[in-house]
Amino acid sequence: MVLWQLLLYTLSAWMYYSLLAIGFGFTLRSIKFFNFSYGGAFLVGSYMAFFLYRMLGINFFVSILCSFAISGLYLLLCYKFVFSILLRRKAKTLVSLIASFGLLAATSAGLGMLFGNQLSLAARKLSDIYTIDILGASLNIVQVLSITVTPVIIFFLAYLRRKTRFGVAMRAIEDDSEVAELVGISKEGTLMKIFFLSGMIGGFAGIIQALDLGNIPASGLLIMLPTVVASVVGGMWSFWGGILGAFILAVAQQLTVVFFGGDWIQAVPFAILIIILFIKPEGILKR
Amino acid sequence: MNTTTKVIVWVVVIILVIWGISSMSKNGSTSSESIKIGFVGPLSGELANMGENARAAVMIAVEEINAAGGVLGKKIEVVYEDDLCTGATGANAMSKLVNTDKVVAVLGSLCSGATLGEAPIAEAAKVVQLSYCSTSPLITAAGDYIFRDVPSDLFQADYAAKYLMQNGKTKVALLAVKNDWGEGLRKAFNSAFVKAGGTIVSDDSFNPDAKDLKTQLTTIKAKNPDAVYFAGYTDASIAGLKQASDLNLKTLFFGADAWDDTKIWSELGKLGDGAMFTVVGTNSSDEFKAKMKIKLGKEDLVYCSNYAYDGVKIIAEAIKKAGKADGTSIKNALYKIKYTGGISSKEHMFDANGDPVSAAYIIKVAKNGKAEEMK
Repeated sequence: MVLWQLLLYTLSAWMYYSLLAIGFGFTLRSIKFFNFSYGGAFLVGSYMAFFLYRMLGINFFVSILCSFAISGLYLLLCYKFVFSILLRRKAKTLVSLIASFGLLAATSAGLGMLFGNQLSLAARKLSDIYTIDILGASLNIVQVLSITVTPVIIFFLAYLRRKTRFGVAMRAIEDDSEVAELVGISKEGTLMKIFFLSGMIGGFAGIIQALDLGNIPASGLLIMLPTVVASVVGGMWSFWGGILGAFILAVAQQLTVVFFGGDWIQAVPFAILIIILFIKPEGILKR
Repeated sequence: MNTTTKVIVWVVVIILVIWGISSMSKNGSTSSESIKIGFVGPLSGELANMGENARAAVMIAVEEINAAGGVLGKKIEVVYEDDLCTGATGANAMSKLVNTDKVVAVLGSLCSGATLGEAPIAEAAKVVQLSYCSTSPLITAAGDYIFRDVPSDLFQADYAAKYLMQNGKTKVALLAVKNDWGEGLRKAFNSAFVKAGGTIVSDDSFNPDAKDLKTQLTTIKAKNPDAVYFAGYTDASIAGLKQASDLNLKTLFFGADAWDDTKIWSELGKLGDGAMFTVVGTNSSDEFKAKMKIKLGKEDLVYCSNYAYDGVKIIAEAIKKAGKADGTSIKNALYKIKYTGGISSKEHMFDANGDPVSAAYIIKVAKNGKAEEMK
């Protein structure tokens, strides 16, 4: 009974981290630095859901789709006005990393000024997020949706990468962007699409967070820690690596809380990261 | 850089310097006409709701004192600083108040962690610090210049432990936020409850920024306690109580003074029904409540605000008694003061540690999105 409940929670945490790691992985592999502004897209998704659905009282599906699109647009604009220019100037990756960090800090501060630094819950009434009984354990409707929708998104993205023109272009740029340009792939266009996609995935995770637990502006940075750890542990250069890393992280966190207590939850991801980096510096899965 | 730009830059620099000197000298002249008091509290961040509430109460108190002719013939002026409820930011805010604004006393902070971070600076500068809401037992020994008009958590935890035992809740699970306030309560409750003959079935804490308490609550549910003593701040409490309801964990949730934040119950609505918490009793008047409503534009009174209001009045009283406004004289006067007619409690006196000598608690119960006193 308890075990079953914990398994369901682990599954829900796994799906949540997978989503974050996949979206992050797309930009990481194509531009080859830790794009912290991804945390900004996560926040934008959360706060747009809160703003449109709860404050303006717009229909649920319309506001979710809009927040989805706006978070994609956010990362696209970040690319267009910051990273694209830096890439064209052949700036060092450290410079780009700091720029992305600045974007996240500015987004988080801006949202804090607009909506306050306190918890913002997207649900109009918390009792709207009802619970569903699953063979003796319970999950709320948001967790059920995220568990069912996330695998669909993952397989859709896997298909996109394998079979479509855009997927091939994406993989070519990940391998070697200069050669890809030589064979006629539009680097700018493909990167814009990648950023839009990555922003939407991050925004989706943010929407889930806002509906399930509520969100604060500071979590844009906090969420980057498990995201980076999941990507690096599983293997940065592999699509499935992020999902594997997310699984390890989710299981480790649950076990930590059960056996050592909740205050250790942030120490464990770091410990795993360091151990894996010693044994397999490239991450578990290769390219 | 050509000559014109150089000239412009120099003109700007000269204007800035003159403006700076003139505004500094103006500061100097006002300080002789008014007595400056500092205020620290969480004006942004998780507890902003409580911090802003306390600031409004302080404003009311200052307006009242100044309307009645001020203190020692001078007006009271308050400098407000934000400490984000953390010791590090609080220490910066306190340094600014002590060194730049040259305040004679500081009211604050609200959070125990922040007060403990600020106290060493106030102590070193010989400036009186009077906290209006920090209840951690550690503050008792924070220093000679550190006072509070709100009672220590040792009393609160003791009261809660006794109440639970009297109502037959002998198996209790503990869940507390990992900061000075939560840790203080957790330890105090643990020892008080075991002393009263109860059993602690699980003892866990969570990080201040954690909102996901699902796993802890699942393990608590498996132990089937009579009650959960849940010492959390606003965000974690909303999320935690929601997750407990998701899990169908229908045991008594018992909290501490931080649950007096109205936001928790308005967000949770019916889901919070039945949750209880201890909070120090008030002596609040309708007149004050009406003034708060005008200041805030809504009906919202956090219990700390009563203490913040009384805190200003107590400091003013101490300055009057001392006959001069400097840190050491105010401190000596505070140890001897007996302030009556406050809105937080009937009588305020400090013991040798700067803690209030008495404490009276009440229990509030949440129902339909509101917390009301249990009769």
